[in-house]
Amino acid sequence: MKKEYLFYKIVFSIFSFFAMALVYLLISFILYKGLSSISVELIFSDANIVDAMMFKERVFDGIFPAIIGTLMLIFLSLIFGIVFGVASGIYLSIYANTKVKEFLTTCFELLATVPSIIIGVFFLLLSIYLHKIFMSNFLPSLLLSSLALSLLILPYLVKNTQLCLDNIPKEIKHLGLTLGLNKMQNLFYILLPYASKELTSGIFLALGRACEDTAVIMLTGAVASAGIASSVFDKYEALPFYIYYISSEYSDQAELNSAFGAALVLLCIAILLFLFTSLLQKKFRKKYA
Amino acid sequence: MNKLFSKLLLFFTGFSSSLVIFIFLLLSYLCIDLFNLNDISNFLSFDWDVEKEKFGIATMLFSTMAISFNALFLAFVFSFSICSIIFLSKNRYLIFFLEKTILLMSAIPTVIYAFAALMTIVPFISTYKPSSTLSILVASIVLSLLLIPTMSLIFLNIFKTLSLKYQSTCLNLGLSRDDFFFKFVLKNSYKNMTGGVILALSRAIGDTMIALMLAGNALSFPTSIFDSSRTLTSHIALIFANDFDSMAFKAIFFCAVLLLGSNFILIFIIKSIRIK
Repeated sequence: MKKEYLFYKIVFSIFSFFAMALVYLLISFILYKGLSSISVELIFSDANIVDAMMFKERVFDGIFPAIIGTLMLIFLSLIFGIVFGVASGIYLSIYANTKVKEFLTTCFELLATVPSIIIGVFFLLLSIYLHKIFMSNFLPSLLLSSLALSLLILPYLVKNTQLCLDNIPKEIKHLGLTLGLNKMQNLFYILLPYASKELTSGIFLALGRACEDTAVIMLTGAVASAGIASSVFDKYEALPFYIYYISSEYSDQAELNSAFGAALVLLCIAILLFLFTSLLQKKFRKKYA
Repeated sequence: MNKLFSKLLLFFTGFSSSLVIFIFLLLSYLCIDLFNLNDISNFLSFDWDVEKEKFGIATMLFSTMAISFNALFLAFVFSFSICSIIFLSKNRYLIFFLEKTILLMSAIPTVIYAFAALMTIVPFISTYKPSSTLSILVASIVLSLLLIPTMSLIFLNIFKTLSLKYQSTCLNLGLSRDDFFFKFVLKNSYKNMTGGVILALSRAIGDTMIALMLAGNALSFPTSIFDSSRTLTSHIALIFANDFDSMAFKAIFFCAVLLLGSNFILIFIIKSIRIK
């Protein structure tokens, strides 16, 4: 064991320890405060739980509308994201020739670096112009937010789909084609089922990104108190925006506690998505091993 | 049917990839449409005062740079240390813990980092320096946590690729694993690591929530890292949320084009590094 690198190693250890300590301090602070403040009352306020769950009774002070808003947002943006993202990934991996592929990949790489606030600004502008011209109900709403979020997660979905399909072994890729299937049948009967687990894990990863983003929804329709949106053209509440709003405007401890509760719920959603993704990845690592 | 399907896919792909160009063109168009030379000098001054019709965004530009580069420096130190420990350590549990933590960090919402820091780090700093509450320092520290996964995953990838290729050769030549890391791996990964650092920089410039919640959003020019300050992204968020006044709006589009342009330039730098 040489001593000459000992100094560097000690310095590295100190910095690593500091970074880890900071991360776990912040996470455990939210867990501690969240767990000590979360209660049924905090989520549902004084509404009847069963009625609130069935959407029969409105919840006024609790964070239940924000939780539902976030879930609806994730679900809607996932639909748009999958349609465009997976289709683009398939095209890039299977149909595109080299030149087109290079150009389109660059486009998606650029899209991945567009700051989320600019995507928000873009969709807000779009809604202002479209509202003026013909679509009178295309105002900041759940629909607009989910469209914006799906654009935000699009590059990840494209990249993931493309990688999954590119990584399929050659003999499986060409198996169907040599047996007389055309490209489309080969895709639906062989390639997509073969890569389905990887595709799902990529989708969950993108979901994690969608559930956390605040800048986009702040500009495109999230508000502090709107209740549960009754249609996609309504304004809505969402957990990240709720946390941001309370942290900048809180007046008493009770409000702050509700923000801690919301932060705990959001953290749990994010960690669950993360765990689910790593579980799937573990499974397909076994498949290739 | 097969042809129709491929045309449909092409349509989806073309549509979604052209959106980024459309965003850039739309924002640039709004800039050009509203600009004359007189305004540009107005925008590049240091004062923002809507009542006096002064719309300088140079202060925000400076704060963005200050916060991003501070955070980038911290994040580089952190991620380089973590990756080195992962590479050098022989303790399996430590490696597992560090790797999983990095992955977990990439899943944690930024707003949670910012909120937790607001309740812990901010009071901690203001007990030592009572004049300072929300500041560039806090924002940089928390932003660096956001950048750690981006950078670390790239660094780890580079280290692993190199060691897979050359480790057995080097060890057979009599180098120890430490020697291999310090004398071979580091010297051969500078260029690729630059790519990771630049990618992290583009994330740092583009982040909104941490700067918005922790940097304090003051309009005056920051003179130390304990001062409150406003970045381009949080400026966009604050102005857009408040009013639709025309002249302030122009400055916002200018901010947006600056942000987008700088990120595009960074990506092209990364691409050129990769090609070399």
